Amino acid sequence: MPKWLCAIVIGMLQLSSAAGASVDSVFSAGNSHYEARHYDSAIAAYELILAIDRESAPLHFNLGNAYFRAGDLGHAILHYAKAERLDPTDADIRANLDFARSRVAVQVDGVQLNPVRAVLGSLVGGFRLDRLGWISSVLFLLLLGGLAYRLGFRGRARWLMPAIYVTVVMFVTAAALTTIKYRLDYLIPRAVIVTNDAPVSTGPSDQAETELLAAAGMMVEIVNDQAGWYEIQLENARRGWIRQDLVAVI
Amino acid sequence: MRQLVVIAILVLLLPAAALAEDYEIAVELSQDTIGMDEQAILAITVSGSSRDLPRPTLPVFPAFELLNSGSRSNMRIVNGATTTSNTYLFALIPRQAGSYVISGIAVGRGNQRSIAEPVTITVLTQGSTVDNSTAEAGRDATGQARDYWLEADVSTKTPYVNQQVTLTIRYYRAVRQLGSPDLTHPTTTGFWREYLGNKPPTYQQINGRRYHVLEVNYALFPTITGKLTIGRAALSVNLATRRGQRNSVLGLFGGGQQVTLRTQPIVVDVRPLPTAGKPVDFTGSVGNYSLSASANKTTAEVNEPISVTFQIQGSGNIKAVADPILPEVDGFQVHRESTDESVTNLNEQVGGSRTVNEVFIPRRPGVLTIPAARFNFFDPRDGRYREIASQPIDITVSEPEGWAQFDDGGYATPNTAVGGEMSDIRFIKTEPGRLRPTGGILLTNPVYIAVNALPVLALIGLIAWRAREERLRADVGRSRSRSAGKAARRRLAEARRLSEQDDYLAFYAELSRAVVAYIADTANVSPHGLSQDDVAALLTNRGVAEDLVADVRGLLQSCDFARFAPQAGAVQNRQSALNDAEVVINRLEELRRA
Repeated sequence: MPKWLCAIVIGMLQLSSAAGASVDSVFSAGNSHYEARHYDSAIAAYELILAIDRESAPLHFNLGNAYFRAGDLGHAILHYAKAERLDPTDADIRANLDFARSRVAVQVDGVQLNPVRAVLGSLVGGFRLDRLGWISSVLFLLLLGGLAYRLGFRGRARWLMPAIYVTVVMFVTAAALTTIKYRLDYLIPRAVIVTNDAPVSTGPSDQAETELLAAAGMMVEIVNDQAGWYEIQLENARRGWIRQDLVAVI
Repeated sequence: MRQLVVIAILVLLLPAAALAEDYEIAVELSQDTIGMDEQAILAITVSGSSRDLPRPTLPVFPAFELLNSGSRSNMRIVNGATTTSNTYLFALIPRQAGSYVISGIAVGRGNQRSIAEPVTITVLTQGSTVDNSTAEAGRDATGQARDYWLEADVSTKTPYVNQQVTLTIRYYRAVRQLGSPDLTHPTTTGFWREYLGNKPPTYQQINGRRYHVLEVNYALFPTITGKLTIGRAALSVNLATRRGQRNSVLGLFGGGQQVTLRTQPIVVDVRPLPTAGKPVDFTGSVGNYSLSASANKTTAEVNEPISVTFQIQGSGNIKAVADPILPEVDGFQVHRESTDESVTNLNEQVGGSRTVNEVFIPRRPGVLTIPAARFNFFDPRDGRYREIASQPIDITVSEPEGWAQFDDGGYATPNTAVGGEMSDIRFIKTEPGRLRPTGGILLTNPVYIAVNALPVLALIGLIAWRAREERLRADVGRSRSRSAGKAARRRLAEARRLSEQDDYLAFYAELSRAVVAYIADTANVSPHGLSQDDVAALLTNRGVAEDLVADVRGLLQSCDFARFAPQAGAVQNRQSALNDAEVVINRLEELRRA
């Protein structure tokens, strides 16, 4: 969609918001376009909400569906992955992501690159980062309250110290899970290849030899970043360089 | 023992399992007709899902001498399925003229044995199969046989628009080559080009000389009509020519000559597609295609997705092929699931398949029909338009238990998974959920950080306050001693006020109390019930000088005496007693600080 059109629609959205309407109406319009099988219009509506710097798991999920129906497997998987990061507990998101990934033209056999990371990933896979964060905070505040009662007011109740020990264990566990989740979801950059037959080269240059042609929808890990190129690692541990405009960072 | 038996059975079954894998074998000849002085390349390709493919077995060919010319392998992973293929190359050098069937090339053993389709090769009695034009190109202006040359040829010079034109570039050389040749592809403006690769090298007898021939092919699809020019191809290579050997230093450094060979431009006259007989909904597909349709099931319940695959297959520019046309469908809700293209190259003919997957969701019970899809294309072989159609598919739709008529709205469609495996994506969400700033992370949110940090600061403050209180409480004596001087001065000030009010009884009582209380505080004992002797003993124990102890005792005696002798209450006496008390307390305070 042209930038000027985006700007006009965003302006209209803000005006309509001031008049009592909301982003919900744009979301509903996107759904209506989707039902009418006007997938490009549905994509434009959903993207508008993203353009005003707002996102949610259902929004990325619906956008993924619209891209899938429009035949753009790369962007479909990109938005399913974003939706899953926001809400890994949603079975619909996981199902559509798996289904879309099964349609990628090139499938690579995954190898367990880092067994510890794989175990940790499966450990926190079903949790939402914000929920883990709040659980950690609540346990932290309970711990502080117990310490304040014990140290600040000389609390001597028999249950106090066992309660503090239990809270410490629970807090350390929750904080560790939160840290792992944050690291896996946000500190290890991942991307999706959005163009079919995207050349993966031996170096960050158009003159470098092409190692393989990647298919739209393949999920990769970004290892390095250099002057318009990413060094990526496929799920089978194979590495190569790809132009940044051929991938989208999750 | 039982485990050993199981392991033994498994070991025995392993080779059988390996043989049970599917193998395919294909045989291809570089040329089906050769001369007695020439040779053909026999390419045997074994392909299958296993990575460890067996080698083919060859029968004896009495009419040919067989030379191994190498092999190449290839592995593809498509939709999770791995296909490996190994190609073995053999040079067939004829021993006698005639027509021969190459058969009996096989792979595998026993029931799993696959035998290749036979191919036929003809060996002419004359030495070469080269046509006159090639023979002519092989001579220079003086009629001498050339050492090397490069030529280009096309399969047709009058193609229809979007019809495949095969461009062949051949490199002939009769001298030794030093290093690898570097080919610059010809310009093909106005064509969509597909590189078909190079054939295995062959040898040909031309004008009495034996030439090594390398052939490169391209598939060109003209995208516009009119005269189009295929530009020159260039090949740069270092050859061991006679001239090169003359120019080398003592012939020690190879004697190579760097030469650049070029082809002649080729003009192709592209014809437009005929207007006669052109279908109304023709979309420009050219080639030779077939259309098929298949469904993953023919019985289903209402709202149970059915995956239907329409596939256009054949030769032509598959990337320019349109989707099949599906008429109005009654009783189904239809979603496009995916499209897929597969381009293949068979005998220099580009083709492949375009697959369209649609999801049909039956909306009512009964026998519903997925109608025939149509597809039309122009066939350049006979210059006619053709329309083909798939077979209609009947689907028997039953009512699920507890079924009720849905509205035709999308939200009524359940998220269905069939047999544990999804056949379509799940439906969109109706609510946008909690929208938040893009990329916002709770852990970096200032409110979240404040919620966690402020209680920590509060706890630290609480602990610090508590520690100070305890420290003070634990050191009462020191605290009393430190504040003793201040309390004594406060009492002396009160005594002065009582003196000014002329209340001499209260004055002396307060003066006595100020001194005793000061000494009791510095000794951390209770002031109540302390006699003059007790006070003197406390001072003596602290090492206070005798004269000062005597002064204190004298002062306290004066106070006691004045309370019972009214004449001692004169103003001058009160002032003198007050001064004495201040001096005593100051001297004791100096001693305490020392």
